[in-house]
Amino acid sequence: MQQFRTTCRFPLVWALLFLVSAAAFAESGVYQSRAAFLREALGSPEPTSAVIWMQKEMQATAKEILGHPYDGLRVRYWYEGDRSAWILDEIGKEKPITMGIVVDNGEVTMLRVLQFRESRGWEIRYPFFTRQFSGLTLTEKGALNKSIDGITGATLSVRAAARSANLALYLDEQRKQRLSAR
Amino acid sequence: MKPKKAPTGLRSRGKHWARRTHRLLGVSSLIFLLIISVTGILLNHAESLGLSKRSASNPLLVRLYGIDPLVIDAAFAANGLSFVSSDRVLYVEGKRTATDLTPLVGVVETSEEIIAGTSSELLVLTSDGVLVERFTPELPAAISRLGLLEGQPLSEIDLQFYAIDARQMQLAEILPVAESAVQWSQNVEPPAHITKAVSSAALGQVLSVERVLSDLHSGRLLPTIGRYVADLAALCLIYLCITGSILWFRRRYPGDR
Repeated sequence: MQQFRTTCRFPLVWALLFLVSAAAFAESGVYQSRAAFLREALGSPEPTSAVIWMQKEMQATAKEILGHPYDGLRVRYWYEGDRSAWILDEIGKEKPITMGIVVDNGEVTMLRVLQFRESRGWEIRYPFFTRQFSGLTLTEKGALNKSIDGITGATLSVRAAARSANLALYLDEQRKQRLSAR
Repeated sequence: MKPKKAPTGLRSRGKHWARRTHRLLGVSSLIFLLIISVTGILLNHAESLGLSKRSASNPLLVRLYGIDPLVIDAAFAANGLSFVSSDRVLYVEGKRTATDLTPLVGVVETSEEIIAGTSSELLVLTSDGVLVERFTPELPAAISRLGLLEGQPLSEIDLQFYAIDARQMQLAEILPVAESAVQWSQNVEPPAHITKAVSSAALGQVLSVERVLSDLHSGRLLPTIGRYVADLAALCLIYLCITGSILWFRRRYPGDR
């Protein structure tokens, strides 16, 4: 008992226990299903979906945002009034991270990591990180209006999240332009 | 021929020895200097020369790097195009088209597009094989087969049939139909030129010309010994710099003897 009390007094032991338990839970996987995300974002598990075709100009801008060509000729999104939800895959280091992004009136209102496949950088799923994206808009130059604070050891995942948010805002802008042109 | 007079005095002997070793090492280091210089220039312009995208497919190099031979997981044909999946990558006509996907279970061609299916994902492609969209439906089990029922794409999941709506990217369960009514997509043996193209594209991701040049430049091409050879070449070059400077200095200022 005396030994147990002595052990409890050592903050180092607690810190190590915390690290070991954190490492045990640090695994890639599905954090939120598409239906759950859409329900949270738009209030329905199967809201109306539509696609936006990536025309040449859009492809060039997407390439500029992502640093590589977008994987596909069209992007699917779900919407409810002015609010749109985008599910985008973006590579952090080697494998794609699936992110759900909600844009309302040209402003990001929610970002969720739906699936993480790599062994490092999963910390971006936590609200302390994703909260930073709320209120993000595009500047006139098409960049994010504020910088995103990084996480040590998750730099590439942080960048992938920022790129996805930037692309979702750009796509939403294009969607609105097309709707108003009709 | 008059015999060369042996140098006398410590300084003269040192100069004579420096000159001889400088010449000898200069000639010996020539090959290393050439390799380092040429690979250095090429690496400096690797991006513009597209060296990172070019695969080093030489069999000797492949063996040297210990790269496993290509394993084709599945291959299908649709609309005259070959669809091959290998190591989580889909190749259409030997061209890398989509990554991070499980092996193909089938490819079907409709009047509007081509649909490729893996155990967990559906991919819509144009009739000429350009990727349009990827979609991961929430499935009760893995997709086992893909086929056509009266021209409409169909998937088999846990012995149930699901119609594929490629526009909405949705699956709708349908009543069981006679096995013979469905044209199931069949695994095929890819043509030799496609296998070669896939092999080259796959190798390009692992072993690019840029990587080989970089390894050659740093001496990492040969395991362990390569590094020591590169160290030796670098030491020779340092020695050449020193002896060259000494010889030049002595010739430039002969009166300092």
